[in-house]
Amino acid sequence: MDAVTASLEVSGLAFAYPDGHQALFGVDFAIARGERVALLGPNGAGKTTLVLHLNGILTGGTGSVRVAGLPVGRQHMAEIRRRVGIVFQDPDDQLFMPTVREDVAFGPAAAGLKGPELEERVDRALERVGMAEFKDRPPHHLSFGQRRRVAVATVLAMEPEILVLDEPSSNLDPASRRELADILRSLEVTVLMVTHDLPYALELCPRSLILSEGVIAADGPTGELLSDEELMRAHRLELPFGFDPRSVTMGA
Amino acid sequence: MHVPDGFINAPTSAATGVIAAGAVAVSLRGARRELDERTAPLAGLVAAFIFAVQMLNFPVAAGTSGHLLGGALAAILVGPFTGVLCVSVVLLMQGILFADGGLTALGVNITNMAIVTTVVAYALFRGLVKVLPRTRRSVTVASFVAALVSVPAAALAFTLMYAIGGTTDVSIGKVATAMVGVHLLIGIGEAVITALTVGAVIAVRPDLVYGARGLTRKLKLRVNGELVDAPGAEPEPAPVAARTSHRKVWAAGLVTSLVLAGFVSFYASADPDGLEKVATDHGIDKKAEEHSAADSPLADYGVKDVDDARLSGGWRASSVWVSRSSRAPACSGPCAAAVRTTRPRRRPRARRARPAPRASDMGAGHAHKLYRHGHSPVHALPPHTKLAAVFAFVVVVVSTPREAMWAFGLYAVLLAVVAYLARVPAGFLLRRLLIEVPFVAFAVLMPFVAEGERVDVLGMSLSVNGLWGAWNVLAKGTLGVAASVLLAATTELRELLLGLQRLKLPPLLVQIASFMIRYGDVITDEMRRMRIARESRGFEARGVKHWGVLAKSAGALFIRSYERGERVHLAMVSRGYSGAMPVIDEVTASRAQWSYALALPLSALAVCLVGWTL
Repeated sequence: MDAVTASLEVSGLAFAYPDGHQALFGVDFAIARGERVALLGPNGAGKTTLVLHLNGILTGGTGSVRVAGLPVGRQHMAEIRRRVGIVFQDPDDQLFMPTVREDVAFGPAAAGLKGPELEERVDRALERVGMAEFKDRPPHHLSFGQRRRVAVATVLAMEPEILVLDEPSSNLDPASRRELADILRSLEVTVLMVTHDLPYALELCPRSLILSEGVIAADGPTGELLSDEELMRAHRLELPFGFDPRSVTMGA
Repeated sequence: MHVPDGFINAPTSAATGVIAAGAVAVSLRGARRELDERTAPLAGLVAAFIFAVQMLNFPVAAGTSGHLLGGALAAILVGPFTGVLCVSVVLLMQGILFADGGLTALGVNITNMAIVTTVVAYALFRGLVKVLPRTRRSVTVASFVAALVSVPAAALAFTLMYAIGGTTDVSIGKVATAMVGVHLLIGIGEAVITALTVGAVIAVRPDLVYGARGLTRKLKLRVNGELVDAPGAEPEPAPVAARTSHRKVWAAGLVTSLVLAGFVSFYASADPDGLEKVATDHGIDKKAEEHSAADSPLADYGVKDVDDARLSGGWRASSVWVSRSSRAPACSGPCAAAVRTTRPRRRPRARRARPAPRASDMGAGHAHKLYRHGHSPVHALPPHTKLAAVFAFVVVVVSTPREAMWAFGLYAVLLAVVAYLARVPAGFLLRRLLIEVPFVAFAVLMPFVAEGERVDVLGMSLSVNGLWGAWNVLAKGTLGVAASVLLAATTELRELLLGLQRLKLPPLLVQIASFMIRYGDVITDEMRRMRIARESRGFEARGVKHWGVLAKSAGALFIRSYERGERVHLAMVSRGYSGAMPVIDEVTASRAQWSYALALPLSALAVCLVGWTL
């Protein structure tokens, strides 16, 4: 696969839920390999709905999604799901197995790995998020921050092309938040981070997209978008009190 | 309605076991059709929902409350096959983890409570939906009738089994009367809550109500300002061809069943007698709320409301229970059916402290409280060997002739040896045995109500047959419960699941069970939060007029459970799940471990054989 192929390409995506509520009204964007991009938007903008389209969990609307050139659709579903690693907002949804180890092993084992190879993959993924010593603990005995890290590990274990994080910083205390940022920065994968935590986006993602009312309303360098007060106000995005994006030095 | 070991004879138990296994097998295939690869997470979460809902108490009449059984609700919300699976898994886990419902009586319990309720409810529901106009209101009405009939239907099924394989002579008429009469009342509560719950779900997520498929509309999408049809987002509505042609048949069937139901209820109420009273008072047993197997399982049996004067007067031994339970709801539950089984109803702890039945009772149950951590040789045995040993032991006990009293003594000694090896203190074991108390209470009544030759004891005329029957149920039931308690005390939940898998329980069932357990607490927590929110706003369910609020809570809980099931499923498919759980761990047992575990049932078998030959 050539490096020119975008990791993710979304075009004309529209979708309504069964109760008639339409969440997406034609979304277009592309993300190149290795980029870290933030998808910003107020509550109810359709962010999570969009995420669920990225690996074909929601279908039935119009438009298309391509992952590394592969269209998301019935015939490549297994491959798509291996390549798009989604970390969901609530780690309780993500961690469904009885122990951390089994949870992390779930993805690779479903892909056919077993024995020492599987074990090695699990160890490496847990190592990368600093959770190696929690291998045999049940997920519900971990703190929220630890569960979120294990959730990231479950996805890393599948060695995805693109890592999609839904509100990664929600419910984390400042220390866990920073630890997670360090982990994300150390990974060499394409990252799409869905959030309304603007400082976090600025800290981690050079580029941002603003999703508002079901369409992409803006696409550009994170610092610039956050400094555009009019744009921010128009899409119900507010910086925390006292935070000035212009005064922050970007650590990319 | 959780029938204990020794209540129904061995051949009938075996036969119902075959029926249950067959029905579960059919349901496994059917559920795949209903839910495809979402079966495991969704059915697991719905099972978790059912057991949470069973904690939802609704006040029925003065001092009486019921709780949902859930068979009809499950069938209508998720389809009959998935419904059967969910209720079966709940029963299976109750039997293994909480000694609630005998292991050898699992077939009886599943047949009555999972299969009969679900099948009857769903058949009736489909029939009504076909006959009635195609509106959402009709779905609600159909749910009402389906749930109303399903509960006494399970009671009748129990009576039938009792007629075929009951171990005591109590006249079938009395059993039927008591069972059906009581359960008709409970059925009304079940019906109201079921209908309102289905109504609440249909108002918000009509797509989630399996029984209302075909009522949804085609979606329109607005793309860049234009309206277009959504391409096939929805599953095809169930075909409704041939609706008119069968209408008459359905209508006739319905009228017949309603007439039958009316007749039965008339008969039932025409003959109130001791047993019926007993049944109402405590025989009726409750579904155990599984995970609420809180710290002291017996702490909360709301069941045994032995507030009958006759009883409590003549029966000092259990006066503790009498006094405690007379405060509790008299027959708290659309106990699907059985009179006698008197299963302990483990109520959440909180209930104990409460003076009156509360609708808001949802337990703060937690994991597996019967487990007692330790490092004994018994703890170390592979789980499947222990499961096999306990099951075999219970089978042997149940097949022992009741006249061989000494044999039961030896069995008790065998269990005591196991308890000693497992370093399970006697106090721990005995306290957990109290789970049995309500059903013991029933056994005590047998000598009074059974027929046949009578004997005078201390001036009371007792039935000889009834005495033997009481002894039989007591001895076998107690040993069964003790064996299960020992198993649960020495085996972790997780291991039990691996053991079941190893014993070739269908993997899908094991997965459903493991999801149920993984999410039981999460769902119960949501239920608790909803209750706190309700009570914070001054709501307390005190009467019939509050049923609506409870049903809306149940509806909201269902939607939350289902949506979580979907999210879990999403998380699973996102990591490559396509219907089969990847194998990560294998459990194995050495020959030595097997022989160690099987020592228990083999010694018991020796005792049993001697018992038959003597």
